[in-house]
Parts: sequence; structure tokens; C-alpha cells
Amino acid sequence: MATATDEHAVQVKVAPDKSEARLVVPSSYPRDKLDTTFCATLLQEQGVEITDAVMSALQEVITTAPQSAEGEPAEGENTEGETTEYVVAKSQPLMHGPDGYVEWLVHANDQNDDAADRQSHYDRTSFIMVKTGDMVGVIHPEEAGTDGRDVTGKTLAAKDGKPLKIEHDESIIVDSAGQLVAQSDGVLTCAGNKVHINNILEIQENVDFSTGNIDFGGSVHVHQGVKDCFIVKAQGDVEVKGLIEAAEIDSGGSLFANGGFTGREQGKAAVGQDLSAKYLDGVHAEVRRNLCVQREIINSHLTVHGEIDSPGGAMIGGQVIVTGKVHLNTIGSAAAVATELVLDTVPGLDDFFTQLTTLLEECTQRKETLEEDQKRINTMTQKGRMTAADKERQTEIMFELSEADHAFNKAEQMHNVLKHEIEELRTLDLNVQRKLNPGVRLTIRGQTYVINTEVRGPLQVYRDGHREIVYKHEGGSPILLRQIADVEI
Amino acid sequence: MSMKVMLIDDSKTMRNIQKGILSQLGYTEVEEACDGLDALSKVGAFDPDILLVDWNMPNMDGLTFVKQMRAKGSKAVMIMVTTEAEKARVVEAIKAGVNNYVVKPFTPDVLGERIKETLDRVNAA
Repeated sequence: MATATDEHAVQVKVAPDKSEARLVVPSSYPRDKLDTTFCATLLQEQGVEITDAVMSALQEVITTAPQSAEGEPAEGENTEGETTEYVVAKSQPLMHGPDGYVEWLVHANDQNDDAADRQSHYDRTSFIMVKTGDMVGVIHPEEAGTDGRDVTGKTLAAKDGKPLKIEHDESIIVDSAGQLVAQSDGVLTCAGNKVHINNILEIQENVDFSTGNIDFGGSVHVHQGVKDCFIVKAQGDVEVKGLIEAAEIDSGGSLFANGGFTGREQGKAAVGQDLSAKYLDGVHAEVRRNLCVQREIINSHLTVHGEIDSPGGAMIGGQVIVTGKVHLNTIGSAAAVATELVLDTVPGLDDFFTQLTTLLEECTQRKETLEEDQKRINTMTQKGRMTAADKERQTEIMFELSEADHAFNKAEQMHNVLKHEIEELRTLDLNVQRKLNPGVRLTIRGQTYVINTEVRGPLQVYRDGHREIVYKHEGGSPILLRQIADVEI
Repeated sequence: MSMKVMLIDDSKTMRNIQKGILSQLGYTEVEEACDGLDALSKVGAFDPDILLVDWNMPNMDGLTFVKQMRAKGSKAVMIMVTTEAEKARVVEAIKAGVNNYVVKPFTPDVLGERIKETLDRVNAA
């Protein structure tokens, strides 16, 4: 500490780090001998820069801080023994500039901000899902530092902030305002200074409470399984290496249930393309394209808009509705478990076709009724007995006929197109590799054939040239299916 | 089409038929009145471009309505839609100021054509 040597004299104390300078005034020192010039000189001798602020502080000390009548220090004074210290100079601290940084605008678990109170544990997700166009963050640039100054007037140099180094690919752009904008749907991943949107969501373990339900714009790969009651939705494919339990899967693309799917009657799937599974047990699913099962389809209710290609797979129990070709190893069981295969049908379109046919019939009937009315009125016209009301009625009939014709023509056109489409899509071609068991129900265009005997494969069920439903063994002659089945009307 | 059409007929069924035909022709701004008096109370606010007027109506018939409209200086296109087919009455209507005439029963095409031909004639004049 730099001080003067005379202990009865006013002294100056400068902090070692030059952050402040104090005037040390002995209590015995006559206050009337203190003046700003004298104190300033003392300070200057100790290297303290004399600024306006220092002069103001000195003035303050001299004019406002005399000792009180009782000899107690006045407010603001720091007394030590018989001296009083006054802070008369303070340094201006330096401020280093902040580094550039990203302010992230998206976080996991804020998917349903307005329903936060009601959010179930199933909906809590640990992934940050973004959509094309989402602003995911804002880059705040580095700032310059602000130099300080110590009490001796020396500049305390501050450092400028470091610029942010962020690496990104085409999945994210940085616009002119420093905003990070997603260029695709996916999951935001940050690793060090690299940021990227991945359109494949990799889940390293199970889909369970640690991940929450999944709703993703790309494809989802689950390295383990999917637990009961969880939902996995993806616009792309879903691949699950482990077991899918009584969960719900909704894939815009294909579903790969590599470890099997044991739905226990609660499991559901909606598959936009193909479903490939080790096995299906107690599953309700709609498959827009083809189904391939390695082992069994047990007690499941499936609608398959394409083909079933499972030459090694068995179907036991449940109901499967299929549009195209079927290739299975075994159907039914020796215990005659209720097993139904609905073939040669286009689910959805068939019902619509039936409705359209009914509508056409109704239009035809309506037209006939109107034409009858018109004929009656024409007869009266010829006999000269047409009243004003008849003329009005005639106009009404003409108008309604015109409307009915218009509706009929449209419906008929659609009916023809639909009929053609359905014929193109549906196929009766059932191939059984090993065994067709008794009790199995084959429903073909509304007619059900209940197999009444065990039939060994390989065999094929199809429609012959005479449109009869037949079956035949490899190399054999076709036999009417009703020879081995009871037909339910 | 941006033209405004007023339908004046005491039969709701007839008004519905005409509205349906007009909708097919693209006329979407349509007002209805159940007789001549009702129509007179609505023309001021609605200011139709075309009026389809029935002849025989209670309170004020179509002919009287047409005469009153023309007396006020209305230049709107007026087409009589009616069961009256006798020549003398047709002439009477034209003298009163109707632009054209459609006799019931008519098909939707006939009404559409009549409206078109009337507008073409009025625009050419």
C-alpha cells in the first residue's frame, strides 16, 4: 500500500490492483486545513489520475464529512483507529465482450404448450421435432469488449467476444438476420458446434416413458421394442428391431416388425406401404400394400390391399381380408380355430360400388315416376284439359327430370370406372404350401366356403375359365372347391 | 356472373326451380318476392338487373308490377314467366314494358336461353 510516512498527516492509500484510492485523514487533523488542491496534490504524487470525479469526491469529503459533535464517525466514513478513510477514486472495470452464441427457440417437451397442464406422461418426448420452415434458433453475434481504466489512468484492455463457429448442412440455413431455419422435417441434433436435422429418428432403446410417444415427419428406427400403450407415428418407414407390444404404429411408409408384434387384441397398425413381421399375434392392422410374415398370423384382424407373401407362415384364427394373391404355408389348425380369409375383394371400394349401384337404381326409379307424371299431363294437354297448376307441375317435372338425368349420368359414369378399377385390382389366387385345415372359411365375393376336410398342399384356389371356383394340386386337375367345402348362402 | 336477379312468383316451388336453373347458369345473387307488392318493397334496396315475373299473383299481379316499375323509370330487364299464352295477353305484357316472355311449362334450357337472348338484345340496343 502506497502511503505517506507522517502518521499525523493526511495520507493516500492506493489499492494494490489500482482499483481505488483512499484519503486517510487522522481524526486529529484540523478539517479546516483540508482543501481540494492539497488533497489532489497528495493523490497525484501517488500516481492517482485527477479527474472531475476525483475532484468531486474530494469536494464531497471536505464539505460534507466533518466529525460529529460526539466524536463518532459521520455517515459514510470508514474509521480505523484514529483515522478516517475516504474513497476518492475508483477504477472503471473492464468488460470482456460476450462470445457469439445460439439462442435455441425449440426445446423437447414443448410440443403442446397450451395443454401442458394436461400432458400425459406418454406425450412427453425427449426429442426436438421440427418442421420445414421452423425457426429453430437465432445467432447472437459476438460483442466488442469495453476497456476499463484504473485509478492511475491506465487502460485495462478488455477482450472482444469470440465469433460463433457453427457448422450446418443443407438441412438448416442461416438467413441474413442470423436465424436458423429448418429446411426439412425431422429431429434437431446438436453435437458440439454441428447442428443438423435428421429425417431418421434413431431410438437407441425402447419406445417407452423415456422417449414418450413418437410423432415424426421422417422414418423411425427403434433399436429395441415398443412398449404397451405407446404410439409411434411416422410419415416414413418404421423399423422396430425388438418386440412391439400392445402399441399403436402408424407409418406412412412401410412397417418392419423384426422382433414380432404381440398386440394382445389392443395392438394396432396403419401401414401406408408394406408390412413385414416376424409374427403377428392379436393385431388389428390395415396394410395399403403387401404383407409378409415369417412365422404366424395368430388371431389377428388384417386388411391387406395388396398381396400376402408368406410361404413359410401360418394363419391361425382371426380374419384377414385381402385384395390380391395369397401365399401361405398353413391355414387354420387341427383344432378348427375359427379362421376366415376374405378373398378377391377390394375393401372400401366394394362397399362404395354397392352404394353406387343402389343409387343408380333409385335414380332410374325416380326418372320412371317422373316420366309417368309427364305422360299423364301430356295426355291432358292433348285433350285440352291443362290447367295453370298442371302447367306449373309440368315445369317442375321437366326440371326434376333434368336434374335426375344429370345425376344419373354422373353416377353411371363413376359406376363404370369403379367396376373396371375393381376388376383390375382384385384377384382370386390362393396358394397353400402345406395344409388347409377343416373349419377354415374362405369368403369369395360374398359366398363363404367352409372347408370340411384336411387338404394337404401345395394347392391353389382360383377361378377357372368358366368362372367356377376350383382348387388343384400341383400337376393335378382342377376340382370344384365345393367338393371340399360346405357353401354358406 | 355479377348480375342481380329478382324472382317474383307466389309459388315457392316455382321460385326454387328458377333459383336452381339460375344457379346452374352462374347467377348467384338472387332475391325472392311472393307477389308484386312484396317485390316493390324490395327492389329499392336490392336494385336487380333482371326480374323474372309471374303474371297471376295475389295482392299485385305481374302486369301491374311491371307497369309501376316502368312508370318509376326502371330500366331493369323484365321477363314474364307465366302460364298465359294467348297472343293478346302477350302483346299487353310487351306494351306494359316486359322485355321477353317465357310460357310454362318450360325446360331449364329454355329459361336459360330466354334470359341470354333478352340480355343480348337489350345490350345491343
